[in-house]
Amino acid sequence: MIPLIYYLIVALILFGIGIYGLSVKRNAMRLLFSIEMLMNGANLNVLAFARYLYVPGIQGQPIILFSITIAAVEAAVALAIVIVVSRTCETVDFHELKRLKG
Amino acid sequence: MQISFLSTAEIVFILIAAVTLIAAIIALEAKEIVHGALSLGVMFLGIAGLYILLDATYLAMFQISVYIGAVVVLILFTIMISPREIWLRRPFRITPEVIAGILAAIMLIGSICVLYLSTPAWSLTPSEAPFDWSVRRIAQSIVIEYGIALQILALVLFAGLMGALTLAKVEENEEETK
Repeated sequence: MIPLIYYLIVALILFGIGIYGLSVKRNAMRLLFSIEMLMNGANLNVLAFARYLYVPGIQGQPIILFSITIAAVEAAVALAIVIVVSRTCETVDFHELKRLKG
Repeated sequence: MQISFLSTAEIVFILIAAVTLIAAIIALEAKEIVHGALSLGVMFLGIAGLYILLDATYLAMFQISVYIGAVVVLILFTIMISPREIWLRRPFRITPEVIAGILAAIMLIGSICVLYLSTPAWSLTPSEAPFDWSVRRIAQSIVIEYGIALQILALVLFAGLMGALTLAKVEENEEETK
């Protein structure tokens, strides 16, 4: 069987790619991509640990279901915000959105 | 002396993991944002494949239907209904920001990898005891143990979707001024 560390490292690299995207990219849609990668990495980590419990159990899977649902809601709200911003400011570059500064 | 080859499961795992990670990088670095969105869909498929390897077939189907069926399609529609100029990508340059981002990611990955490899958990394998991974067990768990959480989740879903609709609605007077 596959050792646990393989899954953990894949989830970790996915998380690292998400961190890179969040800190470097400026386009609002790329930031949304990065957030989805972060959530997927975290989900994969939790599910790997849940599968490798000493006593096999189903307890991890409902939590991942809830997490995926929350991620879908978050993506819908984020896309609505992107639409509003692109309509009012005519850009989605977060470095050009000076209007939100205090 | 025993020579250990990769088992079939390991080969499948490495292929799926490589596709997932490469698709994630392409999603961030693709020149056209539509290609990035499609590559994100490939990444979600790869994650679903890893879920299947972890004996969570129902979760894999859920992942495919929610992420590829809803989120990626929503992203594609958003890209299509917005004017094309705002998605144009500025040329990739090595700026201090990019170097700092790559360094941050590498340091995060490296430090946690050292932490992982210094614990005995790295060689842990799952218990081979037969277990019923069917949907019925998940349904019992959700309804009996997480019943309240399920109700609250429905309310969160409703509130989030209403908020998204309200945000994206075109006001009538705003339409007249254009």
